[in-house]
Amino acid sequence: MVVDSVPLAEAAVRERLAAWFDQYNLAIFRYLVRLIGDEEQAADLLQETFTKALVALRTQALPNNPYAWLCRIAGNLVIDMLRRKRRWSWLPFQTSTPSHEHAIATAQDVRDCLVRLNQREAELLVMAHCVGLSPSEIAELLSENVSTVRVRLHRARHRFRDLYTGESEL
Amino acid sequence: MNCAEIKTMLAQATDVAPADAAAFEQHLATCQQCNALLTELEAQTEQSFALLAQSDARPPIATVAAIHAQIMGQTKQTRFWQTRAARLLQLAAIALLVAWVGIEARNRLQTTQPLIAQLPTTPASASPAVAVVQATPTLSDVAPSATTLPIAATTTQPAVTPSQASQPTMVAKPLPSPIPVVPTSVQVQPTTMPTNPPTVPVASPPLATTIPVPTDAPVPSPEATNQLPSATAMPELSAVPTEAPAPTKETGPTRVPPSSSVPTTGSQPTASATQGLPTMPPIATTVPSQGPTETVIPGSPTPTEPSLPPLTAIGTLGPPATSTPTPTSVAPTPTDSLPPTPPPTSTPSLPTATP
Repeated sequence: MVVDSVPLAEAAVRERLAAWFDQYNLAIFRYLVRLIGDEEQAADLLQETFTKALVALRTQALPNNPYAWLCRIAGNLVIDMLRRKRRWSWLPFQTSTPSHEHAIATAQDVRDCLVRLNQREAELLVMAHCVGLSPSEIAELLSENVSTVRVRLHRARHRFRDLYTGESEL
Repeated sequence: MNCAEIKTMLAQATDVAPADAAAFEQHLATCQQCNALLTELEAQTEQSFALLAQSDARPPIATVAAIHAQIMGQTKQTRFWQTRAARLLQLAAIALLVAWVGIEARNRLQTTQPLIAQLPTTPASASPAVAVVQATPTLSDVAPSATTLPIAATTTQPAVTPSQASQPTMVAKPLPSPIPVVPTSVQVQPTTMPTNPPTVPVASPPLATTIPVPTDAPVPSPEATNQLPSATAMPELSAVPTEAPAPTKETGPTRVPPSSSVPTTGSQPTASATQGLPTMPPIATTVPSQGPTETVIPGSPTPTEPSLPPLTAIGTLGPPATSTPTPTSVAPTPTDSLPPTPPPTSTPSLPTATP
């Protein structure tokens, strides 16, 4: 995953990160909007994502898949933010809603299930089903065994289904 | 590893060991049922995440420019005092400063007010006699203008002026014991009361001088009323009308003073005595020698002392005056227009009223 074992200089890191930003900012922004559902918050998280990436690149080597690496950082920020929002929000009204509002409510249910999941399980599901990474890419990104990632991914899907079914029945 | 162990492993939340993961992969390659179960589970999760609608939104240009500038280090980092927490701290500090200023100002006012309040009360406490005079204010002491002055500030003015002291309503006198003066300001209300008291009305003389005697004497003026020593000084005036109209049943002649040239017939002026006329001295009629005769009226209470003539007997029907030829008209007449009374010699010629 790591191309260079030695961190780059400050100017090189900034130039590299600026190039990645120009290349992936739109994809990461839409990825954030899909997870959060709010463009303003997605813009804020986009800035925070690259800020964290800049700090991380000062201490570690460049990743092989910068897009997956940036999406992982963004996904973790989204999960953290959803957990913070869940602490300070109330349950939505369960009324007869049209299809669009029902879809929004269901998307919110998915986000609630992601928040209820374990951090590592939610991260796997987001990378697998939102970013579209394969188990091997995830294993490479996480520096883990592919078999282990597969087993963990199956566990996460199983738990997510249980939670989502329970949320839908409510 | 069998299918049950696969399901149990999926339900567990513990970390996956590499050996268990390898056994899991090996069983999935041989077991179609477990492979189908995991495929269905992946499809359901994919459908759920498909509800998270894809967005074609674009980030704001300003945000993109800001992030790019931040990456390139062209923008200064946000200082602490520019953050939201720092602004809240600034507001809190300002609020504390304002509160401290307010408390300090109130404390200073509280410390200066007692000193101001003690200043005017010091001369009043030094001269209690003056304060006593002011403790009994009268209507004339109140100034007509509405001024807010402390009590001690008016102690130099006399409480009662000499001209006001002669008024009958001026009852303000120094009290025997001094009254403590409270160091408070008195709100003097403007009054419409005149400084001179109204004159005493004629219709309200003292109760003791009221004489229910029909008289033509002039009503004494208030000055004369006040100059009289007391109402009990003229008991004779009140006794005259009760005796004068008494029915004359006397048989003997009335005693007339020799100096009097006017014969008496029982009708004598009553108010003339108060005027002190020398020509009309009071005439006292003699009591009948036979004693008073009582007229017993059925149903009337019996007098307890028969020796005293009852007042109710006067003017009532008495026994027939057989020996009294003179009529008993005792209507009072004014002194000035009193006609000359005929001599008593003509009385026997009158017919008697006895049936």
